[in-house]
Amino acid sequence: MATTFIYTIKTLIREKTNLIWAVAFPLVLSTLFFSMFHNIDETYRLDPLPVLVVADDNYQQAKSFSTLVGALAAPDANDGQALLAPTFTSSAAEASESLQNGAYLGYITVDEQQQPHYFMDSRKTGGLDILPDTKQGIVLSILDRYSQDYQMIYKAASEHPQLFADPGFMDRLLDGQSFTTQVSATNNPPSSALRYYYAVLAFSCFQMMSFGIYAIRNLRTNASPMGARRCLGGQSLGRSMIPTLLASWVLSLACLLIGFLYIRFGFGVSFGGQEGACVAVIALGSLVATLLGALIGALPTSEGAKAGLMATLVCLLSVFSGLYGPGSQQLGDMVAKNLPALSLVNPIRQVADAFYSLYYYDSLGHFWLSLAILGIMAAVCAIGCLLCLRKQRYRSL
Amino acid sequence: MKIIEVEDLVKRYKELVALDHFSLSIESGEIFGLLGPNGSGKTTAINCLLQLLSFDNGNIKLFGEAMTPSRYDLKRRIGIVPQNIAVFSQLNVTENIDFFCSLYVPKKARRHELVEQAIEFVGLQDYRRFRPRKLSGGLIRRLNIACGIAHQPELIFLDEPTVAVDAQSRNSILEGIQRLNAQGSTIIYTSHYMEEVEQICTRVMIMDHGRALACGTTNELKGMVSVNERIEIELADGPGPAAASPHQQALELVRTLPHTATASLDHNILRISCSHGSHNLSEVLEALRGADIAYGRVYSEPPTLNDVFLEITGKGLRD
Repeated sequence: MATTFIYTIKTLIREKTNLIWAVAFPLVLSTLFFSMFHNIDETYRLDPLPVLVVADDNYQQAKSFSTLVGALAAPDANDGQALLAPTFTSSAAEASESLQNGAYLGYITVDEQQQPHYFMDSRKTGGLDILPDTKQGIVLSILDRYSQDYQMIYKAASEHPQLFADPGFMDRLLDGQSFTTQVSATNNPPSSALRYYYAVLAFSCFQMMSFGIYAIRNLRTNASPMGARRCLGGQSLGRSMIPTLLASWVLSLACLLIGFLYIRFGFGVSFGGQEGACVAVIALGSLVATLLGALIGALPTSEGAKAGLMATLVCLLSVFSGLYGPGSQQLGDMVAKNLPALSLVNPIRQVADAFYSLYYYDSLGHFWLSLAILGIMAAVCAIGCLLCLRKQRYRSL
Repeated sequence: MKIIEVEDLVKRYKELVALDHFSLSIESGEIFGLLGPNGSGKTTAINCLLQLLSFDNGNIKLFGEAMTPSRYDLKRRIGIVPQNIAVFSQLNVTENIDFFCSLYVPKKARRHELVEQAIEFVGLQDYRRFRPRKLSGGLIRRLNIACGIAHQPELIFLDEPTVAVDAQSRNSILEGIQRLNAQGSTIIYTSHYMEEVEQICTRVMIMDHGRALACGTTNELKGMVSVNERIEIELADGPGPAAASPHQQALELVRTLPHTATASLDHNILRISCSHGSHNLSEVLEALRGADIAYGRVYSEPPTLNDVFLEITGKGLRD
């Protein structure tokens, strides 16, 4: 059996067409997706907002406000991102003039009562461009918030100055006004590009069906002269089939791991820190693909029909794994919601779901479910293949 | 010892009867030739023997035991050289032979010896690392043979192993088959080349329409048909048209001889087909001399297996 295993590996490796497709396909497709999507998350990130600040006497006297501007211009301790990118001018006239070059959202002045005022660049509001409005809104929110706090503290100091004798008063005053805390519903921050990479890996897994088909073509008595010759050897079908399919699977797995490592470390695509579990998914996915290929290879039909069936299956089932874009993803999700049985029997969807659940879910329930379904599929394909191949004598060759 | 026993084998493809109560018995040590036109049932018979094809009726015994698809012990004693080349294009010569040998011989060390012997046997020593696509047609045929015989089987099926090879390769293959036989292997050989079969086979079966029509040694087969010796005589040219008369006289004369089956005259060439008889040529020449008819060159050709084959199976074209 070891000899059959080794020679099957050699024949598969030296069959350049199969190997190039198996190795190159995930690399090419993931590279394509990377070039398309690597900036997609960047577009949702807010760059520091460019504003002009009139640093006149009023501003210098408004210590609390200048402190606030300084704090917002400093990188955040969590994400290293500053909220504001202030540019200081000496007068409102200068600021207004600078605004004309279009590089700033607006300018801020501070009046004698230490109240800030914001003058927006009218060109950066309204219209169909929503993002400038959002940015202006953020600046306004900051200033509104500051004004409210300033007024509250000012009023408290005017009417109840004794309260400030208590060193903890300011903390308590501001404590009840904590902002909304951002929490993630998922185990990791969502990323719209991830589904594509997961779908590519799932798709690539099932491209490996060709190895299974190829292996069976050389085993089945009525599929090729090679099959007939091997059938006449002094080995049982099992002793020929097991190492042949094992070799096909091992090579599929190796090709897919190259793709996985390329995606993970070449493009830095996150798998939720569950790389070990991802290897298990790839291993099981490629096993199902190899056995499904073997089952197709064992069907009593022409080689062309088998290749066609494989291509149709892979392309069709990939629709529901979200490989072809947002429409495909929505369709897949809709089918999963309304016709869950169809998703359960879609091995490509199950592989993609397994990656997805590893990244997003904080428990492994969905992951194990996908693995269990893939395991059942592998068993069904193996039994089907055996049933097709158990016949050793044929009515015709 | 009977190495193959087939009794009353019937194989039908729907209405078509591919094997019609076909029986065969082959002794150990024979080189047995299986002849027949295309579609006569040769390959079907072999595939039934090897249990690749199911059949409707009959008994098959190999090595004295009933053959079934799962008799791997019997299969291990058989070597197959299929008509269609069945080697891996991705493996080189040594790897191909080693792979097919491994289907019968699990031990690597033993296999290594056998592979080397097979390579030497078919004369592929200089091509060990060559893959099939780098080999000529004759070398691939030899590789195909090496893959089938490397495990040194007792019974070898060779299905038209010399198709599309040059004369040198064919000669090498035929010599190899005879050496295999000399080493103790029983050979079942199918071919369309009558001279090959005549050259190497100890017994021959001619089959057609799924039936065994004749079986025996080549001499026995030749004795079964009406055609025997063929004689061509170049009659001497006479002086002009008047000379036509002695030629015609010669034709009439040979037609009266007891072993003449047919006789014809083509210009001055007299062609005679003889039926059975051991002294046909001397009888003809004696008759011509007796009639004072002059002749030049004389050709005599004994009957060939091809004559036998055509007489038994007919001269009509087949698919």
